[in-house]
Amino acid sequence: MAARGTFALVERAMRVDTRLARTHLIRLGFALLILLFVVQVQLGIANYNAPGRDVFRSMCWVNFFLLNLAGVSFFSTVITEEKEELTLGLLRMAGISPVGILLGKVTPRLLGVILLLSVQLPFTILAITLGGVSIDQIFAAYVALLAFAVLMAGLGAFLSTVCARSSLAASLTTATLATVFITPYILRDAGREMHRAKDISVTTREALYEAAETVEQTTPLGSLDVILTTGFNSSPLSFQVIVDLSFGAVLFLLAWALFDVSTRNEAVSTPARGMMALFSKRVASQSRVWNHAIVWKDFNFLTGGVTAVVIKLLAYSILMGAMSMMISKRVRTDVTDNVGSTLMASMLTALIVEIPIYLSRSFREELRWQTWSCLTLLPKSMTRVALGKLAGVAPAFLPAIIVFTVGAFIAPRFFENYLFKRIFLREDGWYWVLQYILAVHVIVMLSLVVKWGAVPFGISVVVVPNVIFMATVGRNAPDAILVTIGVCTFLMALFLQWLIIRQLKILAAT
Amino acid sequence: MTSPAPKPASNEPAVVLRGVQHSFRKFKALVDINFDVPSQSLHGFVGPNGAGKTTVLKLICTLLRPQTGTVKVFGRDVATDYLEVRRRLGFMPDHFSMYRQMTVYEYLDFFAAAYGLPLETRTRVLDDVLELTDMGGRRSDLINGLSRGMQQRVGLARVLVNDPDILLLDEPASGLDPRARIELMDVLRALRSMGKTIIISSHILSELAELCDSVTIIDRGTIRYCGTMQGLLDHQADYPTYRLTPAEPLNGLREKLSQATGIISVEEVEGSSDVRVAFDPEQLDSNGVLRAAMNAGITVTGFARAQRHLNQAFMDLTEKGVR
Repeated sequence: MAARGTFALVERAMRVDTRLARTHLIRLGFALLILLFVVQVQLGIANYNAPGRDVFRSMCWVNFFLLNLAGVSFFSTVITEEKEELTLGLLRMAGISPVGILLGKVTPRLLGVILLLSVQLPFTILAITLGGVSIDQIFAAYVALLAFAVLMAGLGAFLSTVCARSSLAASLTTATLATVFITPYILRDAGREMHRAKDISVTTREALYEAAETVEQTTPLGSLDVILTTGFNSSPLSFQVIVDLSFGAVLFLLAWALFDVSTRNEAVSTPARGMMALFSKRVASQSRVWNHAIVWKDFNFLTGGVTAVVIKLLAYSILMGAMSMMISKRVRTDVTDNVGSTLMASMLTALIVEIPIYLSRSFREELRWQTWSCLTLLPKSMTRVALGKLAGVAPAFLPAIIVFTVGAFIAPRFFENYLFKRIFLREDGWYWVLQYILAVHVIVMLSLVVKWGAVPFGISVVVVPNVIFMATVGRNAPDAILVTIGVCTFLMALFLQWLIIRQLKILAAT
Repeated sequence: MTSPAPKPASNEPAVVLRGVQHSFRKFKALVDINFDVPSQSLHGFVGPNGAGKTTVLKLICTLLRPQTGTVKVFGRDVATDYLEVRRRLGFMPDHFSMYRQMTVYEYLDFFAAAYGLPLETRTRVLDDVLELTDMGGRRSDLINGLSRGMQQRVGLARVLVNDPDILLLDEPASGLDPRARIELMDVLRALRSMGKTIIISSHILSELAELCDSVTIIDRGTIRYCGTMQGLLDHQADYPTYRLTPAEPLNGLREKLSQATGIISVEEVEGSSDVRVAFDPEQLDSNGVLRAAMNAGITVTGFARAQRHLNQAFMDLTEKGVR
């Protein structure tokens, strides 16, 4: 009975997947992307020693990038989506066991990823023909990627079982992946700096280096480099493959073990009160809504209000203070410049990440809780409502802006020479600003049409073409080309703005 | 609530729909819709599931733009003058479209502020709507913790904060227990007495029978009836029908009556020996029916125009099945 239920789940998911045009378009897009790599190599074939290996290397990194995306969005929602739709109980009542549900939900997604990888087979053969890569390397690379896919599936199954909401599961997946990828760099940097400051011995430093190497080898980030080295002749069952498969299996088993406990109380998910919950309801009720009501609502309930701004400002200040102290210990000259530039660079990064996240949530939350139609019935134009929402989330960026401004005061020279002049007085600076604006628009648009993964998908939609452009002609492109692309980007952003307003109107009536 | 004096009735209809058609891709949701809703009336909007009720309400409240035809609210076109229409209108959708993380007071205060009410006016208006909907004691409660009936009251209070002239309520009683339904109907009666025009949609006609002054029945995107409740009861689907009470059970005489010239059908009335006789008015009149009954050997003790039950009227006007 349980096995039948599992097969029914798998079959249904595969059927739905097959019927969707989107699935086939993604595969087609992927095939075209690889074709682009081949064309790129073909155009400059004289510059390549091993064109086949270079094509295959590009394919591998795109695969790795997409597997990370799949982990964050595709796998991390595998059980939470059933929780959010309140359908998990129905599956249990149908007599499907926890392991049956987990297998029934995870398997089709894993198969989907395998199908996406299989699209590339003809091109891998082409890579061998072009030269520079052997069949053993190709086989080992695909085994490494598949093992990583299994790890992603296991991680997704585990986090979506223990988390109540998709957003939390996706955030934890992102945090886990970021930790795994950043840890080797931190270990190496810490080992080097602490040894330089004579805080640790050579042996400890080497141990830290080794730990960094080990962590690096647990993901394709490290193993693919080894596989794609000329003369690779090792077993495809590398350390990374064994670790990834083992962790994937352990995480899946943990999800199974915790399934009953984590899904026992299926409750209607409700919007969180956020930082407003820190106050008692009665105290909160005494404070009145501002005249700009939409700004008040989004500021308090989406970004967390004054409390969240203060907490974030304190957190940034403490973090940046600690970094400044570290820098002042390490650096002997230009301390203020170094501290200031670190503050500015860190806060600029924080802003770049925060802006699309808040903007996409701003509309997504209204759609999720079906409140958008009531908001659009106010006697205000759609543009005014949208602007009110933007103004509501804007104060959330204040902590980063304040710390950035402090950095600019500390290191005005760096601000002028390396930020202001490079960004606003050069064509390539404007080019990247416009690309970022386009990415934000794409993310907001995607947040209106997809349930999850708008941020990573939006980033990839803009980043991947840019990476290809820069890898081919971008670096040496004349300014005229950059200006033309910049103007096109700006026009596309305007078009997306129009599309966003149109989509918001459609969704209000849905 | 400090009841404002009822606004004087005007001859201008609150809502006018003319030649309205609306499609969702290939699916024709509305086909040539024409009807008026009198000002300061309580108008029922009834139809089976998928009939097009919500689409019509969304057109009136400006969420949808008419593809063909015109929709006017107090003389203003919803397509061109939508901001003014929104100021005079309150729409309560069929789903609980609420910021459930807010308290009742925060939620109402938010909408009052969003409609541009100054702070001092807001305080008074909120006290009024909370009193009217009997939610004053729950003002500090989180909406999330309220029962369905309570949430419905908060939803109703929300559409009242801008003092709209017309209220559109999409299946407001759906999912409510009997007590909550009765209490909701009481609130709606109170609102009508204040001079509001109320359009209330439902797929249960009997629910609206005592409440509404007029009713529109819609099925498969077309209007099947629009008029007063009494008119609906008198309204005959195809042929005039009289209810005939025989002195004794008819048995074989029923067959004999149905074969008389001009008689269309003779149907038994459930739970009695009465029959419902439908006839062709071009061949017979009511006297002719009585004569035909006597000719068939029936001793008639009662003979009156048949007034149908609301549900029967609804069944006659709507088609079988859902779309």
